[in-house]
Amino acid sequence: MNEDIKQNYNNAEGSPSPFKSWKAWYAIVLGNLVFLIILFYIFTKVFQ
Amino acid sequence: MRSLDWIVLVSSLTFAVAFGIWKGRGSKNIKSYLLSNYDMKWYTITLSVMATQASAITFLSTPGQAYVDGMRFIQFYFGLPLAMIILSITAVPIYHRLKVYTAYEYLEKKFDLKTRALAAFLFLIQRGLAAGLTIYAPSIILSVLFGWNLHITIIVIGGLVIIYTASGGSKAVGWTQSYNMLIIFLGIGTAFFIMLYLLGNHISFLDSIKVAGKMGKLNAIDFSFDLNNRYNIWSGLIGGLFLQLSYFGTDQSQVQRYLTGENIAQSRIGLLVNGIVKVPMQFIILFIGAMLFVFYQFIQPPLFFDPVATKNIKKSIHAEKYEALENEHKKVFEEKRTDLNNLVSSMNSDDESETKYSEKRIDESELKLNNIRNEAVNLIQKENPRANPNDVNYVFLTFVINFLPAGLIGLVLAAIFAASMNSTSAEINALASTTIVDIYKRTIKSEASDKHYLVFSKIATIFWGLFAILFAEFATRIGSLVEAVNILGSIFYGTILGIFLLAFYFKRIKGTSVFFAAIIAEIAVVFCFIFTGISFLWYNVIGCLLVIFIAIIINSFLNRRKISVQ
Repeated sequence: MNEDIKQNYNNAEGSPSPFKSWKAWYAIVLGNLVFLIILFYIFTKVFQ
Repeated sequence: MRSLDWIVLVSSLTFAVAFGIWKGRGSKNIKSYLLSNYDMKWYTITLSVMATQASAITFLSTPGQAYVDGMRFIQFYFGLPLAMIILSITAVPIYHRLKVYTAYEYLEKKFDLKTRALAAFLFLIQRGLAAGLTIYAPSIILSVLFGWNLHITIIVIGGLVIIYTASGGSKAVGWTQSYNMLIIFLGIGTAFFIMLYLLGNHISFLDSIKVAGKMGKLNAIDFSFDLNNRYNIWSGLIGGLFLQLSYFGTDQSQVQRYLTGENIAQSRIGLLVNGIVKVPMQFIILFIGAMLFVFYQFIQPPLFFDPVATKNIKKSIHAEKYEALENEHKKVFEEKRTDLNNLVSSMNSDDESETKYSEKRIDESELKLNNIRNEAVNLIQKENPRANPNDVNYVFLTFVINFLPAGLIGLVLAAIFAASMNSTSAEINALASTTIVDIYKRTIKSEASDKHYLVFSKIATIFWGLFAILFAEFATRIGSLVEAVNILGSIFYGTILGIFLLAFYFKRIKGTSVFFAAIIAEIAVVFCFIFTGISFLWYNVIGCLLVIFIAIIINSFLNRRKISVQ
């Protein structure tokens, strides 16, 4: 019975595929933003 | 437009509409009409939220924005990835677990009916007006192409969108958005590569970037802090975060997109992928505008990009004076083009003194060109005081019409129409959901059959479509469309976000405190908009923080009063 409840809960939640945790997802999104800001800053400085 | 363009445009639109109607044919009850039976995967959600946000305005106005103001507008989107993370942690699991139809249902569960109704009402006003602008944008295209009356064009386009949206429902909206995003990427990508190819006849790609940079169009990052400066990294990260949190977390047109996810993870991944790809996508669109600017440094642009206004002035008593300005414009443009060629040569040979001399000459020419342009605009307004002095929305279109080969003009127009139909249908679909679920079903007729609510959802869709058309009729004097939509959103979003943050994080605050705090905060934001020069992105911060602080004060006052009465 407990297994069924756990299974239903997992179906409703889903998994953070392809990573093991949601923290990895958040770190990638945040890292991508920081990378883009640095890239755009260099872009601005080099060509201004 | 040639026959091949018409074939491409009509086939693409017919396929999109037919595909939407076919996919939406199973929407026989209110749950499938409004929420697509919770069956969407993350990639459909990503495309759907991107398609809803990236309306035709994005593709028409954003390149023009970069053409006029450079790339600093990119900073506006820096708050978006942060908002995607916060919403994935907070709003997504809450909405999913409560199985709500609209975001505002949650407010009644947390506070009371009047707070839910107030948030729904603010959404209906703001989104109803914004839907008007998304109909207005493609209407410009037709009025430009065929010289049709803009007001009649708005009615025709809006009418077509209403028919498509009312028949489709949420399922049709989601599926057509995926197809249309493909057309959008194809159309805009093709236009960009053709522009680079044509530019290659005059200047190399690297030199184009150097020229754009020297002329101040690659100003992507600005670290200066100034409340009156519309776009810098601080207004983008802080103001943009509040705006995007409110847009994606509380605006039903977006909430409805990720509520259709089959589980929490699919909705979360859909939003997070949007957080990764949105900023680069906007960068590319702005970069197209910057390159368009370089393109028009070597190919002479029209003195004024709005062809209808130009045609009218040439028929008026000011025609002779306008033609003299055009000749002067041509002369100065040719001088500047020579100086630009010298600038490129001197930059490549590292000749610093020659580079500085060319830059100075170019600056002088720019000043002269601006003065000539201002005179032309004054003349246009003298002839017609109602003429819009801002031609930013015509810049990209002018390039498409004049320089793309047969078939590709049709493809780009198909992309713009697809984008507009997507966002408008999502907006009208969300407006209908809120009207039926939060207002009609909750306060007017709570007991009725599923079929009754389905019919009324379709009626509400038609009503909001007509409302949007009416607003579009008054939008002709608004400057840059992409800014207008965001300014409009910012007037309301801060207050709505404040209400939701109180619901998510402040357990002891009661509904009455939130309700009055929201009304006071909204008045304060409208005051800022009318009477101060504060940049619009900060309205989101001001509105949100005011709601929270005032609600805390009112709540503590009511609590003390309650204790003293006891």
